Amino acid sequence: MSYRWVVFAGALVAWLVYFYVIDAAIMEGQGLPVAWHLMPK
Amino acid sequence: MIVHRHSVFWTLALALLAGLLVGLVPDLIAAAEPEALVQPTRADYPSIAGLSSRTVVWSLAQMHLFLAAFVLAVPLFVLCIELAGVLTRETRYDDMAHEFMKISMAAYSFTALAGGGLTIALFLLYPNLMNFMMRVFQGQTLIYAALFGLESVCLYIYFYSWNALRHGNRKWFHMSIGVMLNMVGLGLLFIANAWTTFMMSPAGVDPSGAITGTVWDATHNPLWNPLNLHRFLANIAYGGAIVGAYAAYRFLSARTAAERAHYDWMGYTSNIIAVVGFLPLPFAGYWLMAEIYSYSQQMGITAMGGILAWLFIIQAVLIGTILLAANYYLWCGLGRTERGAHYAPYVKYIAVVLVGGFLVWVTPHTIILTPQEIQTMGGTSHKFLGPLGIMPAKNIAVNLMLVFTFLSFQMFYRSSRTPTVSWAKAGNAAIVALYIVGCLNIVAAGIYGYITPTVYKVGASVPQVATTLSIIVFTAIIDGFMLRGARKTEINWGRMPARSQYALFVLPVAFTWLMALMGYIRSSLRTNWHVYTIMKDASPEAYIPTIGEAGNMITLVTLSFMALIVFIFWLSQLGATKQQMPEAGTTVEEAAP
Repeated sequence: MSYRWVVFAGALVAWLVYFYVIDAAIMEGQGLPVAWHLMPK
Repeated sequence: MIVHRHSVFWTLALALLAGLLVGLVPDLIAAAEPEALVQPTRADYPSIAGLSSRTVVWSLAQMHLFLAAFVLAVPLFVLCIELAGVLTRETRYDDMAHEFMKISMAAYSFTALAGGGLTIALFLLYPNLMNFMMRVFQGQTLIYAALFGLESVCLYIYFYSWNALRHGNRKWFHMSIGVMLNMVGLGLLFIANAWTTFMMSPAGVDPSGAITGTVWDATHNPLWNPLNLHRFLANIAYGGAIVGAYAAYRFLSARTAAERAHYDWMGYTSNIIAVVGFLPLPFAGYWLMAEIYSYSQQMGITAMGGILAWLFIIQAVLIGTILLAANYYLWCGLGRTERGAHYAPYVKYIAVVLVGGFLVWVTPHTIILTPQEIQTMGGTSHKFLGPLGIMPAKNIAVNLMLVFTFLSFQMFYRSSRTPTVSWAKAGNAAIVALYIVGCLNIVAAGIYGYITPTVYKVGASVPQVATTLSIIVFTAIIDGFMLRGARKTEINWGRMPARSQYALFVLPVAFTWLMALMGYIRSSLRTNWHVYTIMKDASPEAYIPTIGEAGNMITLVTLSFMALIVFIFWLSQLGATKQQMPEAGTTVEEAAP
C-alpha cells in the first residue's frame, strides 16, 4: 500500500470523525440530540 | 496637496453627517405618543386616470430594486479588485476595477430616477400607509435622504479621482473613499430593508397600531437581519452577473485579440464574483424563511404550503439554470490552458450531479390531478417521486449542486497551476477524501431527516449547510498551501468559444427574473395587509395577484430592465469610443472607426 493510499484512508477516517462531531454538536445546539432511539430498528 | 484638501473636505462632510445624526438622535430613541391607528377605507385610495395603483408601485419598486442592487454591489467588489491590484502590483486589476465602475456610473442616475418615481407614487397613491410609515420611522427618513446625498458625493469623488489618486499613499486614500462609499451604500440598503421588513413583521407598535417603541425597535424587527444578509449576498451575485454580461457583449464585439483577451478575463472575474455571492445565498434564504416561520407560522404556510408554493418550483428551475450556466462557462474555460484537458473527463460526472440535483429540486410533492390519475397512481403523490418532493431531498440536491459548482471552479483554478510541494499527493488524497465524506454526510443527514420526526428534519438541514461550507473552506485552505510556488501554465485569455459568452448572458436574465419572482412572493406574504396584522389594505387591489398576472408583470419588468441595461452597455461603449481625426481628402464618415 503506497503512502498516498495510507494518507487517503487516514483522511477518510479523520473527516468522518470531524463531520460526526460537527453534526452532533449542531444538533445538540438546536436541542435535538442525535436521535438513535427514534430511528427505525 | 490633493490629499490634504480632500482630508479637509471629508472632515467637514463627516462633521456635517455627525451633526445631522446628533440632531436626529432624539427622534431615534424617543417613542412617539401612543395613538391608535385609524384604519384606511376604500375612499382613502386616490384613483388616477384609472391606472392600477399597485401595478404602478410594483413596477417602479421592482425597477428601483434591480438598479439599486446593481449600483450598490459594484463598488463592493470593485474595492476588493482595487485592493488586489495594490497587493499584486498588477495594473490590469486597477484598469478592470475602473471599467466596472464606469458601467455602474451610467446606471446610477436611473436608480435615482426610479427611486424618486417610487417615492412620488407611494405618497400619491397610498397616502395613509406613507403617513403611518413616516410616524413610525420619523427622522430616519431624513438620515436616509442625507445618506443618499453622501452616496452621490462619495461615488462621484471615488470615480473621478481614480486616475488622480492612483499610486502610493494616494491609492490608499482613494480606497478609503471606496470604503466610505460602501459604508454609506450598506447604510442605505439596511434602512430600506428596515422599512420593507417592518411591513412584514412590525415591531415597536401594539396590535392597535399605536406606536409604543422607538425607531430602533421598529428597525430591528424580526426579519430585518435575515433580509439584510440575503440582499447583501444577492446584490453581489447580481452585480457580478450584470458586469459579466457587459464583458460578454464586449468580448463578442471585440475586433482585436488583445481586446478579446481583456474581456474574456473580465467575464471570468465577473462569473467568479457571481458564483462567490451565490454559493452562500441559499443558506441566507433558508434563514430568512426559517425566521418567517418563527415569526408567523401562518405566513410561512402561505409561502410554502399555499398558492405561492408552486413558485418555489419555478425558483428551483431558475436557480438550476443559473448553476448550469455558471458551470458551463467554467467548463468552457478549461480550454484556455493545455492542462485543462486533464480535467475535462470529470466534467461529465459533475454534469450528472447538477442535472440530477436539478431534477430532484423541481419535483413537486403533490400536483393537481384528475380522479383517474389519482387512481392510476395509487394516491395523490407518486410512490417513488413523492418522497423527492419534500425538503430533505431538496436539501441534499441543492447542497450537492453547490459543492460540485465549487469543484468546477477548483478544476479551472488548478488547470493553470501544477503543485510543486513534496506533499502534493497527500494533499490531493486529503481533498478527495473530504469531498467523498462530505457528500456522504450531506446525503446521510438528508436520510436522517426522512426517518426522524419533522423537527429533526428541519434541524438536520443545518449540518448539511455546515458540511458544504466545510468542504469549500477546508479545500480552499489545503489548496492555498499546496499551490504555493506552483508551476504556472499560461492561460490563453480569449481562447473561448463564442457560445460560452451566452452563458454569461443567461446569468443576469435568470437572476433578474428570479429577483422579481421572489419579490412577488415576499410581498404577497402580507396578504391583505399593508403592515401585517396592523394596517389593513382597503384598496380595490387587496388580494394576492394570480400567478399568471404576476408572471406577466414579472416578465414585463424584467424585459424593461434588460432593455435599460442594453442601453447602459451601449452608453459605456460609446463613452470609450474616440473618433479619429479625418485625414485630408477623406470625409468624416470614411474616417470613422
